[in-house]
Amino acid sequence: MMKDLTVSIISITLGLFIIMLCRDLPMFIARGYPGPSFFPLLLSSVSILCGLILLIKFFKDVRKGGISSNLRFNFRVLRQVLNNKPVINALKFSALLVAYILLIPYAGFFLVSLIFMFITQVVYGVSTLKAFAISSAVILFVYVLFIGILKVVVPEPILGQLLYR
Amino acid sequence: MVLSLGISKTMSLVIVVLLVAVVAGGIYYYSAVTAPPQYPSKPITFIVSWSAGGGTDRTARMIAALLENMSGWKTVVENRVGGGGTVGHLAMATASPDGYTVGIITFELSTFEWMGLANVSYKNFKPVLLYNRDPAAVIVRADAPWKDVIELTNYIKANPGKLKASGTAKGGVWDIGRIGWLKTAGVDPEALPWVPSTGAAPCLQELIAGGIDICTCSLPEAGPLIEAGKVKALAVMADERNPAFPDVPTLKEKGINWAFGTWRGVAVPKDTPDHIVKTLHDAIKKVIDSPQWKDFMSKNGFGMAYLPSSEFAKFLENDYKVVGELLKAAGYVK
Amino acid sequence: MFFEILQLILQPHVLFAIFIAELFGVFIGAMPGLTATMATALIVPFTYFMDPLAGISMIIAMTAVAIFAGDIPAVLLKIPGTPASAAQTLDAYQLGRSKPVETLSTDLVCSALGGIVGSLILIFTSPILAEFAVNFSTVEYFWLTLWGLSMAIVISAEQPIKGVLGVIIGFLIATIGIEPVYGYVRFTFGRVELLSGISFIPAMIGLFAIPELLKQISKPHEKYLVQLLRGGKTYEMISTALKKFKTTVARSSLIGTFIGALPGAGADIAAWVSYGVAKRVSKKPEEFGKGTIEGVIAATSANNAALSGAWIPLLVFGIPGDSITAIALGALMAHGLRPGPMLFQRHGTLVSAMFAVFILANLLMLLIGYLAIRLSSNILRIPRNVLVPLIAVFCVIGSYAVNNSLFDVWSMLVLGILGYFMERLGIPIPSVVLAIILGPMVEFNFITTLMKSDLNPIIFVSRPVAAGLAFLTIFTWVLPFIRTKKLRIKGSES
Repeated sequence: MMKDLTVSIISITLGLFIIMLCRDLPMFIARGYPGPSFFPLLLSSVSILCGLILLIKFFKDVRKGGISSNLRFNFRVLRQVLNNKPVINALKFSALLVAYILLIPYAGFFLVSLIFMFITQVVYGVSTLKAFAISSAVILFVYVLFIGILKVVVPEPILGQLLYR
Repeated sequence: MVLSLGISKTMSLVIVVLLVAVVAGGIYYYSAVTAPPQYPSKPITFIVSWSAGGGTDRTARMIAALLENMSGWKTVVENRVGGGGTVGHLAMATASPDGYTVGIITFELSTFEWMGLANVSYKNFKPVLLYNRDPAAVIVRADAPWKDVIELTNYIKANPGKLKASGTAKGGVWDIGRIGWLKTAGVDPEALPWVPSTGAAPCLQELIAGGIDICTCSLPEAGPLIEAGKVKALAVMADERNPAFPDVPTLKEKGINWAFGTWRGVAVPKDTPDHIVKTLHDAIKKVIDSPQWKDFMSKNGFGMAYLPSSEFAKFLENDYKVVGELLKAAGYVK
Repeated sequence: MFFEILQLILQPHVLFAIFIAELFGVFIGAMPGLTATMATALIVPFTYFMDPLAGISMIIAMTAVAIFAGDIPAVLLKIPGTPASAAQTLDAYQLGRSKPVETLSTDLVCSALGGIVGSLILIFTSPILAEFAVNFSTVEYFWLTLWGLSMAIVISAEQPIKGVLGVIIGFLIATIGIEPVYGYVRFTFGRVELLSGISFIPAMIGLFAIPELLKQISKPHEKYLVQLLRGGKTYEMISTALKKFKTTVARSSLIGTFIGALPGAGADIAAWVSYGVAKRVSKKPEEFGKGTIEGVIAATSANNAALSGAWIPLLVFGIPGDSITAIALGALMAHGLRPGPMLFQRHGTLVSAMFAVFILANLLMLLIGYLAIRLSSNILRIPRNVLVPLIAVFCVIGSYAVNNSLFDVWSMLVLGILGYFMERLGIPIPSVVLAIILGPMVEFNFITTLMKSDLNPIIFVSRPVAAGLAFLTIFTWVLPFIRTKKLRIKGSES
């Protein structure tokens, strides 16, 4: 039921945030036609309403008992979360993805993809040689398919622009 | 495991990454040094601000294909879609002025600054040539009571706000066509309110369904429906009649001195050297003089047109001014 | 006549064109980010240099196969290959955990059936249906899209409130950019890239694929994505599914063709509506979203039927039914085939041959689709620590390829991480995706309808079709309440 609390807080915050963003946009235009902020405001009100319903439901559950112990938040829980192997794996992967996309404009799609695939595979336990062979094969395949056959445009690198043309 | 030569996993990882970087850098350096100076020595990218399969994209791809055939140039068509055309036009204007990024500019370029969408206009470009113009037309349901465009104009004047028109987004090409038509005829544009639509096809359908009364899109777009007897064209906002629709009179014939429409052309960034513009112009001129191009354009219902670089520049300047005045008159300028 | 048509479509170069187009279609459809629309745009320039029948056949065959092939990555990797596969992705993926080949084969057969039913409707009722479809005004589209949006709540019946939240989030994502009615700029924080809003396909790839990749990579000690069950019971599964759900196939194909024929709605909306309706009338609605073949069948027959449906207003009135037929219109015109009522008279034989190609393409799809299934299901034999980075690369290139924009890649990633948390909090991803598609249409049609009527709200129910759709929408909303009441009454009686 902690989930419900989180969702309710998020939806109320989201609603308020949207209302704040809408302050410069008219709600009605000319003779009362729904304006650009009409629907966003409608949505944010529904969002806040949903949040309140979930909140009431949560407090009802709390009164019924049994949840209050879960409410206590301490650092042990945080440490548990951070030491949790799956969570760390997911975080590592997200970080790698962010780095990957950040680097694309600098070194071009193919080179960065090759390095990304290679490093990620090695980090998650594929042997170096195998990872290199697989990554290169995939990049070659993508190159032939996208550039050669489909003529799709891939991100142009600042470095080594001529490498891919 | 395979590379167990006493090197740790991290170490071998670093080595491989370095190796790849060195090889890539080497190839880059080599090709940069040996690049020949003559234009064009590598593929030319045509930027299109509209999605693949649309009218602008189709003409651009045809130009690119015929250039490959006729001049032996390598070409790539790149769709930079978004922001109502601003993303693509901005990309063209800010590309390096070496002639390898060529823009297909469209009518919307004249509106961006006025509508407050993006700071890009004809001033950021060096025009190469204009290859297409499609005038707006006044289209109504086939069973509409008005015999000609004068009757319709008078009806709008007498019953302000009763009829609704559509064809594209607010401030789009067909909307400006409507404003100019009514203003020239001495009618307040407010008398014919504009209902935004996402394009000519949904607007024509809306016309048949009875949601609106007038559509101001181009004649070829309405062609099949005119043939099906669902709609009729009262006038076309051009200097001359369209040979494919000889029965549709121009507004000028009816005494309303107004011609307007959309256009497409080729342009490069402002600082491109003149000899590159000339090479491009000559090659594309050869394309649009070819029978394949003419066949393609007439079958697709695109209006053929041609203006060389200098005249295209004047045309752009004028279009920009006219559009600005009308948008101001309609209260769209922010 | 009949013999003439056969002679036309059995020309070797026509057959060859269909064959190549189908191979191409499988590929495009199965590749997330490469859509049938984009593929059509890519092959159209080639069709200019072919004879008309071969050129048009290529488009027909390729799109049919591409829409089916969109289900392949949905089943294997939880990434819908095309937007039209988003509706059934959760079910398809769940089924694919144990029986990928069998699920895909059933999916294939139902796709082909849907396509054939759609083609038959196209062949025999084009003029009537087109006449009806072009009379849809924004009022009718408002109700239709609102009805479609209600499906988001239908599909998340356990906790409808979270379904509603999903819709709100999706709707709000879709409001970013230039607002389509007045041209106001909303929620862009001054970024030019956001003027046109968050692109749909990168958003879809992100929302479905990234949470799954994060989940998969977080348990690398299990070597493979799934434990494949041995034993080829493909044939039995197809035949039992067909026997059990033949009404579902028929109903979905009809819904699909009809929605496809509406110029303002395409295969994606057809799949959603059909899926929602199937859940509403199903005997086991609680299984939807958790891996029911019924849901997969409903959506997949509808989206293939919608493809044929989209040609109806195109051929009769020159009004394209979706983005694919909008491109096909260009290809037809390039061959001097001006759509309209005269097309059937001037080029009768050619049009009939085209119709025959619709059927032929769907039949040939069975063969090529099956080969594709056999080949592609080998993906699941790749260890997950090799596969996951590989899929990530394809997600990146897929989201880039839509608009050639790195910004889209970032939106894919951000929405993906958002999707990961939403999934953990129980907010249904399909509701979000559906709202991104339909939200802007609801808003646009609502406001423009009021503009046409000068703010008179009677317009929403004054036209008969609009009133009917309004009734249908409200019925969908109140049906669960009626049902629970009935159940309660039944319960108290016994």
